[in-house]
This record gives sequence, structure tokens and C-alpha cells, in this order.
Amino acid sequence: MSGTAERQPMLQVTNLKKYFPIKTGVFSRTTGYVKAVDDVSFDIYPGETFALVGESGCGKSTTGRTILRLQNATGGQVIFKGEDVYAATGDRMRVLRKDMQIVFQDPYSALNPRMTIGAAIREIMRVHGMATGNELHEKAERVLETCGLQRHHASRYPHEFSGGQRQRVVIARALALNPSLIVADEPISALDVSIQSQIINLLEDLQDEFDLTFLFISHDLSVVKHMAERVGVMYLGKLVEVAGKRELYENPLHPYSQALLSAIPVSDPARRQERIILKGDVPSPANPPSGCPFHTRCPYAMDVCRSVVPRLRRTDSGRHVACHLIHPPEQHNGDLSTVETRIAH
Amino acid sequence: MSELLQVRNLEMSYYTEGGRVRAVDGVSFDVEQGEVVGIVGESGCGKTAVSLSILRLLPSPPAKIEGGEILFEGQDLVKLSGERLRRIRGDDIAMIFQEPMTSLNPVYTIGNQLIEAIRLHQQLEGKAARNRAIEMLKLVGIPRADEVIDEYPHRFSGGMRQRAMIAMALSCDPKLLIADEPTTALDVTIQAQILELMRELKERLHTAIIFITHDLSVIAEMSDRVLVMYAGKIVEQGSVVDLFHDPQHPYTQGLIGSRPSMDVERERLEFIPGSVPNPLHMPGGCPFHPRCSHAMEICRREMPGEKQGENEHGVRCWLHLDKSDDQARPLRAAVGAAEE
Repeated sequence: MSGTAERQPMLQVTNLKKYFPIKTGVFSRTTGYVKAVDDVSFDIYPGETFALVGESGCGKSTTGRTILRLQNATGGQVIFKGEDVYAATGDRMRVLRKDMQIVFQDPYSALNPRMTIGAAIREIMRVHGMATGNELHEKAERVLETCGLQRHHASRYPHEFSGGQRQRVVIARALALNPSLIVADEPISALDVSIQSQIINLLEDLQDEFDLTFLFISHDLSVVKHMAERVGVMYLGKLVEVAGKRELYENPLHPYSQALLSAIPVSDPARRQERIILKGDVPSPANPPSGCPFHTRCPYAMDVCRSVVPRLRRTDSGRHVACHLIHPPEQHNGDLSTVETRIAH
Repeated sequence: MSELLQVRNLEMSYYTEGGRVRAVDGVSFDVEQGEVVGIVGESGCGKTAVSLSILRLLPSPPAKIEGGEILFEGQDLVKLSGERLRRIRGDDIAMIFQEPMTSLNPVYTIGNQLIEAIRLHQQLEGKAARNRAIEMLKLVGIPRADEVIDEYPHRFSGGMRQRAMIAMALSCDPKLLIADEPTTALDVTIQAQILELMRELKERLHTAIIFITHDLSVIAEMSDRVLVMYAGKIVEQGSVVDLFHDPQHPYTQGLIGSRPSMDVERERLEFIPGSVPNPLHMPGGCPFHPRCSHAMEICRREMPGEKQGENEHGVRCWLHLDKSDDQARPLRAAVGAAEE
């Protein structure tokens, strides 16, 4: 975290909310809301990789899409390079979109099967006024080359490529607009193991070469450990912990982070370990538990957890945690060391 | 310990419009009583085809077992009549699949489906069968089993459904359980629950397990022995410790090296260039040679035999076999990074 405190964040997400209405009955009356993203705040600094991790349904993908305004937020604020994304209209929004790109999980559905990949890349560059005529062709082929494909691939259709190559095409298309922020939403989950590392290496190379900033969304904690500098852990639409990678992996503070990290299988048979096994399933986001959303599965749950929602607060060490164990509700600035040792056991 | 299952030179092909696909190509391995054998490989490597062949669950056509033996307690499943095979399925060998929702019938209650299996295979009726079903649900850690038994599958979460599937598979005390990617569709905290459950049940019931997955870390956690498959062939097999600490085949080395590790920080991940070959256009010789950085002349022409090392650690790779100097000429100086 050192050094990031003085810098201006590239992206500031403040109290972001995205509620999906639940409609029932013949008149489709709204009877409740799924709080997919509920009061999420974090910053991303230029050149870093910030990862959002969590299990399916925790709201990590919705957070990514809401930041880009692919879905409109229910509330909260997204500031990108000092500009309010939700205040931008028409032309201004198009300029912002060019600067914030997204790479999706499934590279097949992200590409139009009837368009050659060259045409797909040229179209998006033309729309954003990046180039015209011959220069357009030249630039499109060059960006394919940058992403480990060959120039003559530009005249091929998506079905002619393997999964890993298709993901390279999708990354090339995002890169063609010369963005500063790329939201990578599970970019390797649909790929075979031997291909995943090719794509991870490519993303890292591109980050170095073009000074990219990544919001990396993934459920794979080993990949996140490799890629990210800072990590946000989400559970049922809320951020429960935000910390530097090393702090989080070496000493997770939130009980959910602890369980999540300990659940990862270790690829060394000599080191099979005892782990924290959580009881029960993730509750339905349509009907989340009262108080802390994690209290139904938390081994340390106290009475206060059932009624009071813990807020994401800064600890003395500069990390952010939303847990009553770390920040007891009656004394917010109490001695943290005792609490940290207590939950370490 | 004695051999429960012996697979010998199994050959299975799919006959498709595009031509013949050799999904399983000369596969041999043993499973001992109470042992967990992991099969790992990428999509299309034939790991599921092996497991489906053992129970002969493959539709024919297009699938056809073309050779080899599958000896289960001495009898060859390949030659068994439908009637006799039905008694072994479920009774002696049970199977669980990746997607528990598609394996459960949505219009019957969980209890109905469990009791059906128990009635057919255990000759229990009425109350006794129902009690056995409740007992099984309790065994796999489903809370309020006596009420939940009358629920329909859609009321269950993914983890609960997989528990119900395991209950069903184990309800007839099988000697062998085939688990095909049983945790792939589940979240990581739920995966930890299911793996813990399977480990516990294995200790308690002494069931042998064939555990199929693409996830190397799950293999490292669960298996006693591991088979690595590539393009329908076993390229390496050995004890889990030998395989992870001393991988011999370039493919195994690549697989292990390409996963980011939780313990060791690496600047750059290793990778295997290219991608899995199209099964209709298999490369000649060793199927891995177009992606292998050690490929030699001979790799293009001939499939290597298996070299047995210590501790039954077997590998099929020319690097570990005798060959003439001419044959050992490198196929290329360096492998290009891009997939072609």
C-alpha cells in the first residue's frame, strides 16, 4: 500500500448500489429487491491490478458492469479520472467508454460469428474515430500481433480459432481503443489449464507495455494472488475486506476471507492441511440475513452480528474490514491487537 | 491390498460424421481396494470417456469399445450381458457427475429417487427402504433429513444436490465410486465441504474412488495415485507425491508449472504453447510433440512405449527411452510462443 496513499486514484467507487427488482403476480408488482451490489466502495490507482474475489452470486461481476454503466446503478457514485461516469451524457460517455474497456469470460459469445475478427476490431476503432482507411487495417493487424496472433488472422472468423486464441482476439479488441482501464471479468475461467497461463502472461505483458490498470474479477484465488496488488473480498453484495495482496493472503482478518483462503486446495500432496470448513450455503441475495450477511455461517458470530450491519472500516494497518470482531460496535478505536490475535486462532 | 479393477489396453472410439475419433487409446491402469485414483487432463483428453466406458454408459453408436478388457473382480465388464451389468451398476460400481441438477429427475422428490435405487439394489421395501434413505442423507450431512427427503431437487442448493447424489451413489455400498468432476460446478467453500465429505466417507466405508478432474490441486488433495491423460492416452502415472514432486513428462511438468501457486511467488508463469489438438486430426507419433519444447525427430514418427520407474512411476516419453542419435535430433530450435 505504500506510495498509493499520495497518488490520485484513477477510479473511485463510492457507495455503489445495484438492486434488481423481484416481480411477482399477474401485474408484475415489485415485491422485493435482490441487492446484487450493496454499498460498495473502493479506489483503484493508476497502473495497479485490483481484484474482486468471491463466490458465485456475490456481486463481483455486477460491480464491474455497473462501473462501466453497462447496467445502471441504483445508487452511489463512480468517478473515473475525476469525472462522474453517471453524470456523463451522449458524446462524453462515448469518450469515457473508449477509455474503460471490458473483457468477458466467454470469448465465443463476445465475438460476432458473422464478422471476421479484423472487421470487428476495425469497426470499434472506426466508431471511436481512432483511424480511417488503410491506417485502420494497419492498426487492427498490429494490435492482433501485439496480442500474440498473426496479421493474416484478421481475415478469419471467430470459429476458426481455439478458445485461447479467441480470448486473445477479445483482448486485442479492447486494447485497440488504447484504454487506461480494463475490467477483466473472469477472463480465463472458460479456458483449459494449459491455456490459462498463456493469457495471464499476455495480460501482464500488456499491462507493462501500455501502462494499463486492471479491475480483475475472479473466483480463482490462486490466479488473483499471482495477478493482483490489492484485493477486495465480496460476500452477498458487500465488500467484507479490502487489503494489499500480501496482507490478505498471509493474514486475512475477516472470518469469510479466512475460510475462503483456507478452502483453496493446495497443489502439493505433501502439504494437505486442516482447513476451516464453512457450514451451510451462501444465503439467497433476495433474502439476505439481517445484520452481518455472513453471520449465518460465521464461526465467531456474536449477538450483535445478527442485528447490526458492520461497516467497512479502516484498521490501524491501513486495511479495510467490515466485521464486528475487528471493530467492536461500542468502541471503534479500541485496541486492535487483541482482536487480531483472537481471530487468528 | 488386492486389485479391484484392472483396465487393460482399453480402446474406445466415437464414429462421427467427420470420421473416427479415438477417445481412449490403449489405456491400462489398476485400482486397488480402498484406493483413490485421480485422472487429470484437459477437456477432450478422454478422462470422462474412460469412466463412461467402465460402466458402459456410452451410447452406441457413435461410441464403440474396440478392444481391451475391463476386469472388475475378475469379470470382464466389456463382455458382460446387459442384465448382469445392470446388477453391477449401482450395486458394485456407482457414479456421480459434474452437474448434479441434470442427474436428478426434477419431477420426483429426492426421497423417491433414493428409495428407487435402494429398492432395486438392496431388496428393501416400504418403511425399511425409506429409513435407509434417511440414514444415507444424514450420512452425507444433510440437515433435517427426515423432512428434506420429501423435497424436490429444485429446492436444494448446488452443494446439497451433490450431497444427495453422493448419498444415492453410496446407498448400495459400492466397492468403487467413479466421481467425474464432482466439485467443478461448485463454489470453493462448498467444494471444500464436498471434498471433506468424500474423504470422510472413504475412510469410513473403505470405498475405492476414481476421481476425475481437470483441477490439479484437487487431485493433489484427494488422490493416492494419479493418471495424467493427453489425447486419449495415459502419458504419466504414479503416486501422487512422485507425480507432483518429480513429474517426468513434459506435459505434466507444463501443467504443474502453469498454475499459479499459493506458496511460491513466480514472476512469470510457465505455459504450454499451442492448444489441445483437434481429435479428428491427431498429430502422428506422440500426440504432444507439436507443443513439446523437447520434441525430437522420433517423437514425430513413433508413439513412445511406457517406461517404468521406481515405485510404479510410469511415463510415456522418448526423453526417457533409448534411441539412436539420429532419432534424438531436436525437431526445432525453439518453440514459438504463439498458438498456431
